[in-house]
Amino acid sequence: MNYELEPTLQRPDLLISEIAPAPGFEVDQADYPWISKSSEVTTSLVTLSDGSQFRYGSIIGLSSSVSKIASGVNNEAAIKADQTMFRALPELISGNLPLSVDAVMNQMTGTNLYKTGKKGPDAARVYFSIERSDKDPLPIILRVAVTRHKEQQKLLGIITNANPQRRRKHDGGGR
Amino acid sequence: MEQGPKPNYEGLFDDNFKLISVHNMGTQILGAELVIRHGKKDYILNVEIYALHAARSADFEGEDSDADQTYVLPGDEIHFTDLKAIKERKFEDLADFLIEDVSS
Repeated sequence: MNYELEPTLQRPDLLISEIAPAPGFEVDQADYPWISKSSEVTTSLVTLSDGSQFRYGSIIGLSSSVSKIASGVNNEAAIKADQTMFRALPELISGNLPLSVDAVMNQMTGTNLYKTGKKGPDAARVYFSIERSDKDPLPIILRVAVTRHKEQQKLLGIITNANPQRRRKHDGGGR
Repeated sequence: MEQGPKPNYEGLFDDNFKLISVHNMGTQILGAELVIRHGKKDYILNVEIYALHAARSADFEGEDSDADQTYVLPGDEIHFTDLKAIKERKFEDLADFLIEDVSS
């Protein structure tokens, strides 16, 4: 069974104590060139059990290439990767790099991207970003991608490719 | 760990040796995930200094971690010369830690 692209947040294993509706967030294609167009994504106001708060949304569905990679991820592996991300968020939001998270070198936009680390060759990796908005003091966590560990090269080619000619091949962009 | 400024890798990475991500403390690299092209295949390599590896192993203790294929280096940080040595395949036991990428 493959992982749903926009998983429910109603899961105690993610350390979430409360979820509430929040304003949408405008995702700029200049920051995420692999998405088909700039779009507003739905966000939720998430409160973790330690009191940490942030807005949370997903942009995986804005790219058919990234969606396809996500659909190949085993459900259990993706859930574990999500658990790792949510557990790391309080420390990351406060400006520190948790043990379980790596910084992704994005040569394309300079956007701050992170990914979960996990022991084992078959573990999934969740890629995510932290956005800030002038209108809201809370950080906005965007779930950018989820991939099998062994397929990261393909994802890397999509989200960190500095060559615009090659980028246009994804999602039929550049038409 | 404070994130601080990003490390400088100028001239090291190319189509045959790519950097996916790093675990850094300022400009000090403590861990990295790399894609290495060998022949017609791509391989992923996890590299960590011992302290990070031990801390992460403890962090993931109790979870299903599959086989651990992390290449552990001595010292307090991964130096440019370490990455260069990996790129040039100067570590004889490196092949045991390469994970074939199945993307293509």
